[in-house]
Amino acid sequence: MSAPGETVSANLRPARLSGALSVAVAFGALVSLGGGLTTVFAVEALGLALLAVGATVRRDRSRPAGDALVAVALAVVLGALAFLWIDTRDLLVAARAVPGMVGVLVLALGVIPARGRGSRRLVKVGSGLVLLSVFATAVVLKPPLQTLLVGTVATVLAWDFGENAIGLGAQLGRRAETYRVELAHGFASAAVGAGAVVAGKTVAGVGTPGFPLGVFALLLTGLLLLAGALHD
Amino acid sequence: MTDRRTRRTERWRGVIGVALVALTAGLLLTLPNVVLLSVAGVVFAAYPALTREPAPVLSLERRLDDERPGQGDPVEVTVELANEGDATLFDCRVVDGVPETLRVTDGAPRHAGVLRPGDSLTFSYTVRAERGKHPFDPATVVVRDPAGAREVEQSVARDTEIDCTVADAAAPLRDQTLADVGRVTADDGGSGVEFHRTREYQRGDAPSRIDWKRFARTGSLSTVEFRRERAASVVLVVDAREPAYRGREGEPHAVAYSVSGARQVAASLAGSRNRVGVAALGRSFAWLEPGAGRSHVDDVEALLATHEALSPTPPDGDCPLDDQVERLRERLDDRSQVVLFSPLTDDAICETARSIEARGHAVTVVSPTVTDRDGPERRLAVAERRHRLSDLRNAGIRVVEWAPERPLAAALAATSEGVVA
Repeated sequence: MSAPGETVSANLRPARLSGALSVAVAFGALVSLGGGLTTVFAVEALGLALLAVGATVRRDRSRPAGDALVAVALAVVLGALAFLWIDTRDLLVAARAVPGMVGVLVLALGVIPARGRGSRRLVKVGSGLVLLSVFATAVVLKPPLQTLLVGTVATVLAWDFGENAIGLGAQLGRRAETYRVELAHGFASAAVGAGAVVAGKTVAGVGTPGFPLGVFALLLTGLLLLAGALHD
Repeated sequence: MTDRRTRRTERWRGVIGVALVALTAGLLLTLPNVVLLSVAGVVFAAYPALTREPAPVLSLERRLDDERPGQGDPVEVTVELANEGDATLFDCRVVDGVPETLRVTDGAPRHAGVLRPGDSLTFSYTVRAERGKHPFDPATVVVRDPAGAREVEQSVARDTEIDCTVADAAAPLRDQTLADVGRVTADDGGSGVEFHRTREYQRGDAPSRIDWKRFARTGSLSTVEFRRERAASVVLVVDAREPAYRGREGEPHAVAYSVSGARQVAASLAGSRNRVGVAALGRSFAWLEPGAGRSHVDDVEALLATHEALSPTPPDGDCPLDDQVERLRERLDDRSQVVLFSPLTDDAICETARSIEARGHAVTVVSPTVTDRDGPERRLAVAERRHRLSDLRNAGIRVVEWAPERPLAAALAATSEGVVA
């Protein structure tokens, strides 16, 4: 969509609220997986906040100052990763935390672009990496099912918010007032997410003790194919 | 309310992939908890199927705080979009159809909201009024279901117009000069009904035309001349080829200005005796036979406002100019004069102007200045254009350089008095 006569720059960057929510939820997914690492995550959060400030400064105030801030932000996130390694020196810890930490950063770069209009691909890759962390945690820590379900659902929501932020940005831009629509979309998706957690726990309560895993998987495959068919 | 298009965004499709990965990974590692994660994937994948495709029924109201502003005045536009249907629209995005010739100076002509049945959303923005009439285009509305899986796009029309044609002291010559734009030759004296002037008697003048009262008073013979009834037809040609879609950063492109200029000239010619036709050279050839009268004026307006050749977005492909010029020439009758609106961004259009002039049609080129003032390439473009302008003048073509921030009438007056030329 475009307004032909609108020649003032429409600032078609991803919508603020959804973008911020996206990063926050992805970060929350990472933290919710547990396993300590509080300091490391705190440092990463600082880096992400700096990135947001830097991108804004770069765009609205001064380009060199913004560039400097973005560089510092990236350095802080790298510092968090280095600290993680120095602190634990544990490959297993690295395997479950690093993809997610990098993923949140990639996602943030997708929805808080220093330039351009955001990138759906970065959002996809970023949330994919966070999901990888969820799977790795499942293998390494074997946490309860609820933790894993919440982590997965949060990752999907992070992607959903990020994609929505980019779509809204491309169609309406930041000068338009969009927060109501963003909230409505966010609540709807979050409700579905809550439903997904409940559904996962219910299925676990009903099914797994009796069924062999293979039969159960076959059932799920059938459901997925059905869901896929609904999309066409 | 016209064309409605539904698009499936397929944004939830990736979730199926995620679920399959969880399923496979869980099976391979024999981790039931990971297998169960795909249940969450199934729920998200089924989500779009639980929502209904929106069927928006919308109406749009547009208010201007000043419908007849002066040049450069800010005009606040308030748009109200109402949900006339009986379903809630969860995600309703609207972009207003700001006239392409106007600039938004404050606020954004874009908004989004959740609309319950009977609800409406209101937003406003400010545009800077420019000379001429500026009809609004229909607003574009995109309605998405809550999942964002389907989006319905449609345009919602409401006729609104900013009319900035009030004559002001800066352009007192406006109407005369605009009507004069095509060197309308009906200014010659001769026989007719309307008084033109008196001149000294020449041997052979008809006795009925001698001013006998004056002879009785002064003793010298003089002849009355009447305005010759020879209405000319003026064909306004707009250059809308791809190279004409140039403009300064953040300002309308030359085609928008050309159309606005053509509209102004057509409006003032409508007040004179002359017949007006319109042609456009662009992605397709547009032609409207010269004519006069109120309904013809409406036709002219309609063609300038809606013909696809004059669309606000540049054409993709090549525009076969030679072919279109040939069709234009075939349609010009002997006494037609041509006013060509073009930013003169290439040589082909100058060649066109020369060839039409060579066929005996008086050609006037009105060229909106859209080249930027600075930057090296720009400087080159400016030099090239200046070269083309002087080329055309050497070929005997009247050239009017028009800085679009000034009224066209003033530019015309300046050229006809030889100030610029």
